[in-house]
This record gives sequence, C-alpha cells and structure tokens, in this order.
Amino acid sequence: MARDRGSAETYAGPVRRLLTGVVLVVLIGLFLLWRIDSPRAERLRAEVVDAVVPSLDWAMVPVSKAARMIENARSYARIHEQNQELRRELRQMSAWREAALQLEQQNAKLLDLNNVRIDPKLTFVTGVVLADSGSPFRQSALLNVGARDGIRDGWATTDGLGLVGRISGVGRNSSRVLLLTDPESRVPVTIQPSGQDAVLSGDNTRLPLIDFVEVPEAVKPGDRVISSGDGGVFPAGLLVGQVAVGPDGRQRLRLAADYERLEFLRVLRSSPRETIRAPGHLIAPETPPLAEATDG
Amino acid sequence: MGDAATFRLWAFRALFLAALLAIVLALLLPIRLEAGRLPGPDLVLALTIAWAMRQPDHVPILLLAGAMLVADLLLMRPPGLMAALVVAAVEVIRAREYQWRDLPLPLEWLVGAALIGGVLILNALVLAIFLVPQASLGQMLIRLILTAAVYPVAALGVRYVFRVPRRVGEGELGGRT
Repeated sequence: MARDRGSAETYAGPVRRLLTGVVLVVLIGLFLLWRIDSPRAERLRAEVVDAVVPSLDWAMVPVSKAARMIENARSYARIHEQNQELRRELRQMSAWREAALQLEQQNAKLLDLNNVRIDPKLTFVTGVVLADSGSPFRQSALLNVGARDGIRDGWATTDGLGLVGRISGVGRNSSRVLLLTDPESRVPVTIQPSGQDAVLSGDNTRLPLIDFVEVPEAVKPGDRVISSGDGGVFPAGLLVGQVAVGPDGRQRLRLAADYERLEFLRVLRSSPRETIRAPGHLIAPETPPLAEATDG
Repeated sequence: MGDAATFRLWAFRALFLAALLAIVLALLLPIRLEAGRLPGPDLVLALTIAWAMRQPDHVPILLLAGAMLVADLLLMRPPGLMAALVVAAVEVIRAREYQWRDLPLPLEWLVGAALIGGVLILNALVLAIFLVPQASLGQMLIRLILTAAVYPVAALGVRYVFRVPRRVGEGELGGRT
C-alpha cells in the first residue's frame, strides 16, 4: 500500500486537491446563483438546451418515431373494438355538433344585438415536441419554435382542444412548455357553471389539484374548467378539463388535452392588454419621449 | 508507448462521454409525457460511479464536472448541485483507489450503493435546506433503491460491454513516471 502511494500521483496531490476544491466551489456557486437569481440561471439553461437539443435532432427523431410506431402497432391489436367505440362516439358527436351550430348562431345573434366586443381572435404558432424534461420529477416539453418565431415567456400552449401548459424558458430555436402536471405549475381557472375561481396546481400526477375553491360544495365532478384570465397572462376561456375526484378524495382535474400523444402544440400569441391605472387617464399606446417628459 | 497509451486513454474518455450522452438523449425522448409514472433509476449516476470504480483515469475531474453540469441543465435539475456531488463521489473513489480496485463484485456493489445513496440523500437534504420544491419522499426512495439495484448491471456493462481495462499494473506505472 505504502509503495502504491509513493508513485507519481503523490506529486500531483496538492494540485489535484486544489483543482477539486475549485471545481466544487464553482459548481456550488452556480447552484447558489440559481437559487438566488433563478431567472438568469434559467436563461443560461435555455441557451444550453437551445444549443444542444435541436442539433441532436437527427439522432433523437428516428428513435422516438420508432418507439411511437411500436406503440401504435400495439394498439392495432384492438382495432376492431376501437372502431366500434369510435362509431358510437361519432353518432353522439354529430348530435352535439347540431346543438353547437344552433347555439353558435343564437350566440352570434345575441352578441350582435348587445354589440359586445369579445377578445380579438387569438393567433397561434404550431411547434413540434422535440424532447421532454428527462426527469421523472419534472413535467415539461421542449418545442422547436423559439425567440426566432416570436415566442415569449408566459404564453399559453394548447394541443388544439385543451390547455397543455405555458411557455417557461425561451431559446433562439427552442422553447420549453411547463406542463400543467409539473409540480411548479399554477394556473388560475374558473369552474363552470358555478363560476368559482380556483387555482390549478400540478403535483406530478396525471390529475392536477384544484386549489383555493371558495365553496367546494358547489363544485361537482364533471363540471367544465376553463382558464380565467386572472393575472393577465393567459387568455380567458380556454378549455382546461373536467372536475374529477381523485383517489385521495380531493377535487382534481381531468385534463382535456391528450397528454399521451403530445406531438404538435399550439402556442397562442397573447398581447398584453392596456391596463387602466387610474380613472380619467388616457388609454393610448405610450410613446417613450412623451412618457419621459411627463415623468420628469 | 506514450502515444498509443494516450490515444487509448482519450478513446475511453470519449466512450464514457458518448455513453452518458446516449443515456441523456434516451431520457429526453418525448415518448411519454404523462405525469405519475414510477421514477426510473438514475442511470447517469450509476454508470459514472461504476466507471470510476473500474478506472478513475477515464473520468478526469474537469471532463466529469462539465458533463454533469450539462446533464443538470438538460435534465431540468438545479444546475451545479448534482454535478458537485457526483464530482465529490468520484474524488472519494479516486482517493481510495488502491483499497477498492480489487474488490469482488458484491463488495463493489455495497460500496457503489453507499456512494449512490450518499449522493442522492445529500442532494435531497441540500434541496430541502434551500427550500427548493422536490418530489415526494416515496418517489425519491424508489429512485434510490432502483439506482442501487441497477449498479451491478452498470458495473458488468463497464467490464464486458465497454471492456474498460483495470488500472495498469505497478510495473508499468513505475515505467511511466
């Protein structure tokens, strides 16, 4: 043993120990920086991800496509059953479609009579899911659209039917969607028809929790849940899902979006609305020189 | 002798990096986006510890720190913390290299499991101290147990799939100085 220690490694001992110390201090320092100034560190993360993942697309796409094909092939086994089920559902849907058309016409007429102006139509950018979070404890998806396509932090993301999450972290060519099931996701929602406001908080299970309901008795399983637009980040009225009761007896949400096959996601462009700060002020697009002049 | 040996050393280092990259990319594949799955073993950690137990020369500190930092960033972990803990664990292995290098597999498994447990528990403790929200205790325990359980597979993979040679004999070591 003593002879082993007497070899070349010993001379490098102090240098090696110093190097180890420096590396550890740098890494822990980075962790502290992340804890103190999370947005800046997350921007660094977004940039690293942006540099690495899209450039390795060629390796990942064939594998994930193959995996999806295997999964699809498995579902062919019960294709007859599925076909029957779909026919049944289609019959129900056509009845609903009829009802929806009538309601839409009625609604348009009523809105016209009242001269109501609803939110301007939302436009969207569609992105392909490149990667997921890679960790079983976090739920997010990486899209192939980023700052280059005008994506901004906080925008809502849907799968065409229901809300999926919001943008959290934008790189040049990629952006990360924080899914509603992520432990850090909090989204203000409204429960219809009782009209109660609640907060939808993810907890890394398939059914996120419905929190802060004022009168929980008024909420029944099956009630529709839509985004409320509180906080001004999300557009109001996006379908999120239905109330369900979880195995633990708490009110949870069955998501309308199909989380099992998220391949393409729509990012909804939302522009910040004018805010009314005080009565009697002019609501107009601010012009910088004018604003400075009034301030000074 | 120097050139061929150096080339082999760097080839193994590159192989180590490629294996890590393959694991991370496999984790990133967007196949299942549903929440609530059982957490799998931390393959990155198991492979790194197993490789370092076999041959610490293949995981030089700067390379390891860089690779782990990138893994932290890609896998949505708090950046730096896991990297620091893995680097510390590998440095512990390096310091005990002469005592641990000839361990039979069951004993090596014990040592590896202890190191894996240390890294994951310290990680959870530090996150708790800094009030970072983290997964439930049950899920983390499952991950710890699975990672420790997968260690012998990683160790055998390092020996027989990647064919990592054990540290060179003492005579050669003397020759190199």
